[in-house]
Amino acid sequence: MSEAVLCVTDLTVYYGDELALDSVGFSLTGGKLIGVVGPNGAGKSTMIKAIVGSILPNRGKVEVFGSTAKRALRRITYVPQRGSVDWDFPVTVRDVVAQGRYAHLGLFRRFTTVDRDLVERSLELVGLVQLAERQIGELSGGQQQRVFLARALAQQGDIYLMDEPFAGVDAATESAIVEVLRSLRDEGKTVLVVHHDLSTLREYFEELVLINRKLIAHGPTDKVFTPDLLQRTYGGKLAVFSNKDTTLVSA
Amino acid sequence: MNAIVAIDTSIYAQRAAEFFSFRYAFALEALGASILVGAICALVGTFLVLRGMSLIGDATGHATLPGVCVAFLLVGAKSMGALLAGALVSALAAALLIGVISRGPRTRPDAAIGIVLSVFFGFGIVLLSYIQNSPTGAQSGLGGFLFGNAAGISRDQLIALLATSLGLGALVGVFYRPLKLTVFDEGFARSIGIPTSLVQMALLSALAVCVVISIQAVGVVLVAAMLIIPPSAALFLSKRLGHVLLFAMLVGAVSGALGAFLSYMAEGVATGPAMVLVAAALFLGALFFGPRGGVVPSWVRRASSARAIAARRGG
Repeated sequence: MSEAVLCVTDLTVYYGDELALDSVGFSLTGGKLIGVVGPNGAGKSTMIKAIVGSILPNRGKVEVFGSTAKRALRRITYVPQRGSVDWDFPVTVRDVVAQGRYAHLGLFRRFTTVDRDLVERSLELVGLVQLAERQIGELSGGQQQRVFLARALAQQGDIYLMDEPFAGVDAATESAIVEVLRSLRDEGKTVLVVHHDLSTLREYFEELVLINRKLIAHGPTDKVFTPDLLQRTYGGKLAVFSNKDTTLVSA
Repeated sequence: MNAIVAIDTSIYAQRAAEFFSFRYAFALEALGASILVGAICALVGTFLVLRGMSLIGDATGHATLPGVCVAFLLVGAKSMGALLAGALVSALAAALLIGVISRGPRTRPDAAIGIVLSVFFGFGIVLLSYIQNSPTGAQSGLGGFLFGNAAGISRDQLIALLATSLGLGALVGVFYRPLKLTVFDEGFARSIGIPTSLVQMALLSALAVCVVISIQAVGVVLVAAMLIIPPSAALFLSKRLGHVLLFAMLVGAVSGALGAFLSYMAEGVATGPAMVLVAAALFLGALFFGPRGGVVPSWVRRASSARAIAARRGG
């Protein structure tokens, strides 16, 4: 077992009086694609946001390579939900991808050739070179999702936290994104993805985190993708049909 | 009828000649102040508009009036420094109050803005009426704060306005990256360690300062127009934030210049409304002809793509 890349302990978030996330904890190793699964309102987005520092948890600790220092936490890269920004904003595709470098450049440092190369390479990896000078609102939903992915690639983190990257995306884009995520995993990165389509979980992820405000289970997909644990995650709102080899699920 | 028109034009020609002779210091100062105000409001306003906070600008503008009046009553004479300090305090108080009320239960942000705007402005009007009915207050010229009186701006005030504008411009330049990222994608900005609440507070403070230095020229009622209209026009002109900012400042500056000129020509017309009308005309131009989503370019594009499709079907 290799050392923990990301370790989350006792993560707890309240929205007003409402408990959105109840003492969630788990530890992830490098070189894995991990799916986060749970019903709507289970706190999946909240958990991602609390880990990346987009919201402040009421309680809990996030460690990266055993450190809670700000510098270590910057190695986490966040891919927000597509719906979280105004796509009419006056900014081009290339500019958004370049934002991935801001974390390393601070206020004043200019873009070097290294930064520019990283931006171009990220655009290439997601197949957006031709669209780089477009205003972001002119893109389709799938292309917009790839812009966010390219920004994350340009940031060159060690841990990628992605909030529903497959929402509103066509099948071709979904498989293109999965390819990119797999190559990240093969480079030894840790990729955590909030995912809704239970039918592709087995295919995409070798580990799963099941949550419903609390952590229900965390482990290899084979071990935790079971009717019993899914029932507990979705609280009986789930029909599970089992036969010998396949488990068919619908939420 | 003809005689009246003839008289009018001759007066206007004479006034225009006066204005452009630049012999009158007050006309020059009015021109300089209006240009500066147009540009600086557009700069701050662009971030406000993109963040969906346009109406906060409106509320802060109206909310400066009671501050000006209270400062006048306290100091007893017209000291511009004191009046603007008063304006700043009440503008910040209003911004703070909007935040507090909209965080509470059952009051949405737009309602909170409406409440604060009207209550502050109403209180300001009560104080203003009281001052203007008192013997010392009648000549105070405080009425100029309602709709703006650029001609009343002294050389020293113009220099102070220039210095403050340059300061605000420099701040935007230095904090351009965090500002842009906070306005575009706050969640991502926080994830790379940008203190977005601080950026937001800085933006609101910049707004308050901008409003305060602008109210002499455009007035408390219409300052919001100069914050909102030039950026809204510029958004039709470019797909890059940097260019949008420059275009917005250009539209603001031109509105300021032409507004000051028109207000000089038509004696009795306050500077604020004149500037706003020019800005609105420019906005209409951008709405129809702006390359990014303007009515005419969009129409041309649709028509030509329809032609292309028809041609392909035909061939």
